[in-house]
Amino acid sequence: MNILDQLVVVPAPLKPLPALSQPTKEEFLLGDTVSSRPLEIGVWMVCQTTPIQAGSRWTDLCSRLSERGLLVECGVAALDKLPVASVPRRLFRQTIGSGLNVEELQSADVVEITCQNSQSNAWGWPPELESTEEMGNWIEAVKQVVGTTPVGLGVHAGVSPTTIESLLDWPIDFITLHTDGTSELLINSLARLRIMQTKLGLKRPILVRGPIGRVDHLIKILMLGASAISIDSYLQDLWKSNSISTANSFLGTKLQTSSSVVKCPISERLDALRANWNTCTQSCPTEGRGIDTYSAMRALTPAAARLAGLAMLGEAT
Amino acid sequence: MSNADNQTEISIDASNLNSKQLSDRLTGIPADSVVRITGLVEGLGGLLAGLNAPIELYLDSSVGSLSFMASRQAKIEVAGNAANSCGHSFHSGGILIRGDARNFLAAYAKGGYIAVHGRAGDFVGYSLSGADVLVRSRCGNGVGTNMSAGTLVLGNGCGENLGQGMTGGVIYVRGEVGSVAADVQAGRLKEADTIRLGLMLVRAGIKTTYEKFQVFRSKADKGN
Repeated sequence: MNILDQLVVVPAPLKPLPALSQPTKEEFLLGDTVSSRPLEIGVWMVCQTTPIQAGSRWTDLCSRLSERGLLVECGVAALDKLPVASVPRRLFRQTIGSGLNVEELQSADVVEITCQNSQSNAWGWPPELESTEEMGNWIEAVKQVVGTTPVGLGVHAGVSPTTIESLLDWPIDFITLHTDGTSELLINSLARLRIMQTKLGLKRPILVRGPIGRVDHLIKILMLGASAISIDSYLQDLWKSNSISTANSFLGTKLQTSSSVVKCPISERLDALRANWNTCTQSCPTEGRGIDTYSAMRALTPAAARLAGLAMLGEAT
Repeated sequence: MSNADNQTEISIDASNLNSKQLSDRLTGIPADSVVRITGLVEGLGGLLAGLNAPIELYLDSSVGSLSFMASRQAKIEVAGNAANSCGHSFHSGGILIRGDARNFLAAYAKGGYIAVHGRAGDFVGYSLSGADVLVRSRCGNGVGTNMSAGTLVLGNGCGENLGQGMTGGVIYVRGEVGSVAADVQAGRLKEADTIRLGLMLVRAGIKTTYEKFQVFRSKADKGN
């Protein structure tokens, strides 16, 4: 059973919600802006959907993403036929074991350095980086190449605890956890990052990407500490099984609701829940507190029940 | 590196500058200027990554790892040594290292010209995809690993496993080769080779003749 299914979330009594309006630019700022490279994105991302997969929906999808300040991962070529107003913020993923693609890097709004071999898809450091110091140099070099664009580091969600903790030592603006659908690994890594960030007083955004197709799972992962999450699987499932109008309904209504989430109602709840999550995990009696997933989840559940208010996805509007 | 008339000469004391600050200092310098950088902090990593300026740069010291990553247009001369991955993803222009270079020289380099007058470490030209690279003294192991395009000239042999995973490009070697990977085969110097090799040797200021060189190409590269 997926551990996310074990996280029971009960809508909490809420204060009257303020009127929802289109979020402004500032309300999309995620995380710590000390880096002077703020990440201006919403909580949903489209990362693995190609124009070919989306077909005739691509233009409309990009237009909606653009309207709501949401992020899409693709090359420049995928957007070059769109009207300017329909071009969304673009993430470019530079794998670390390959040559720099300067044109793509310098035209992206967000850059992720992915610790993956572009040919074999194997995760890990490339052979040319012989020390942790060189990894830092690599990141700094990419930052120089891209100018003021936010630069993050992408790792597999199942990397070792030591690696997860070391991520916060790098001069990066955000962290991306790539999951293959194994929730335990993702939750462990999220928990560890949240604890370490709290300890160090950092607020680096944590992006999550992977084949997560259920809305409740997407929301739960946000609740567990992710700042933004990819919705490709959800979209593609919709496109496969339902009509275009259903997909558009999701994008038009639920996405709007959910990006508004950043504005007020959920952002407070997310913060509260994350603070509670940190408290819960830190109070776990197990050695390496907060890392024992099941203990942490049990500790979280009552807090989630009070704080999450997930039903608002349907109720808030 | 040539010194034409009417070039603007600029000197920069880099003793208190980090890599980004130095890059900022080079922003907006007129084209064709000659810039002399002194006092560079030892081992500064990622030096002048992404530099894109048609200028001549002279550095009087050694450079740290990942120096000149993805640089374009500039002609750069380093009086000292280069640490790992110098010229990574290099695009255009030139780099001349007067001293030695460590491992992964010119890894993933797409274009331009990189020359080392001293020795170089392992994996010279790793995943090289278009640049011309010359090392006058001996190189270590794994030269040309995963190389797909470009030219490697080794003036004094190399270690084991020359050309492992090589799919394209050409490697010229004078001197002893430790071992050759199964992916490459020795070939005969053609007229085009002699011209290409001769030009690279002249460019690096090396006086020798092409007859002393062997040529190695990928078995998978049907174009050769």
